[in-house]
Amino acid sequence: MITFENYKTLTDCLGSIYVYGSDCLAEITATNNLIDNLQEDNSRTYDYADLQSAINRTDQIIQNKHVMPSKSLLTVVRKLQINILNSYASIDVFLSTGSIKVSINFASLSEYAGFSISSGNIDLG
Amino acid sequence: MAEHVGRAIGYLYAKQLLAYSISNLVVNSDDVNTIQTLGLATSGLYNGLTNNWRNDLTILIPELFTLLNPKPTVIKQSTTSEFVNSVLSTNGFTVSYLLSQAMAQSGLVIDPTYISDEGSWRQDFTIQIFDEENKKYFHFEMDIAADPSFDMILISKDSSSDQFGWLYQKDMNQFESIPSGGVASNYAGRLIRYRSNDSESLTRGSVYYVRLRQKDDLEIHGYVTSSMVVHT
Repeated sequence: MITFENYKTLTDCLGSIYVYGSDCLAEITATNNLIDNLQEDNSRTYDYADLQSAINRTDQIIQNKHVMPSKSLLTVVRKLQINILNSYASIDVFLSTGSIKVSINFASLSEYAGFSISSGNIDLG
Repeated sequence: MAEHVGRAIGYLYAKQLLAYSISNLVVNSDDVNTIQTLGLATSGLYNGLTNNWRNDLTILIPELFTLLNPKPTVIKQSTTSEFVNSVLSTNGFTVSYLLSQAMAQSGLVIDPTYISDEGSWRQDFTIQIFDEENKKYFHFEMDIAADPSFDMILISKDSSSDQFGWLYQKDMNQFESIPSGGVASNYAGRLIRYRSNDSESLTRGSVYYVRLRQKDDLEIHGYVTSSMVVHT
């Protein structure tokens, strides 16, 4: 049986892996916004079409591969939760017993994987 | 733009590092059941994320550096390592290590001279206006922490006591050191920047939490918080 401490560490890491895809996408979006500003600057004569096309394609790649939880990420979450359910009636009972609160990012990921967690066991702070 | 792309890669690299630590934690667990249940899945996650940061931006990077070409032509010139290195040299720019690695994937080899020092970082904030009636002079306090609740503050800076590393955006592409008397409120909307020194290096691929607040002679304003990934 996994320890409460290791479970907490794993869920924090998995939640961060999930959310860093969105953080990555935010940086790509910021790049796109900078191009928009440059295009409004009439003193510049560059054609930004190819760059914007590259940004949009990269945006899609990041969206598909990193913002949406990958199959391998969901597999880890499912196996982790099933591991808990072998010994506890529910994930919430396990969390309450260990006085653990999972991060909001992991709670969202777990929901994606089919295991919802009650709000009392989520660190909303 | 290179800074944003560098940070984008930084987050992908951070995912790889986290997957590595997850895999290690499981493999080194005392519990055989945990290893059997999660071992294969966590190593699969790590393998899937390894080197993603090198590959996922290879469409964007050559286009980004083509933009630097001062003579855009109808027939587009391909971006070369020589060209990029010369632009970096002329402008005194450096790029992050992670960006340079992703560039290498696109065939662009950056001279190590133009790669930022490992662990260096910078943080930008927009200067806020609080009182449009009266001109004020602002100083800035910034904390860098390892956790979002700022219980583990690693670095604290105050521009009123030491201006070293603090810059403000005087013109669109020009940053200057903050005067000892502070930054005038008519610069509101422009950027304030802190650039780390050698003793303030942070771990590459780690995410840190940043909060900054403005202050003037009369009051200290509320914190603006953000996070950053070290990508140098």
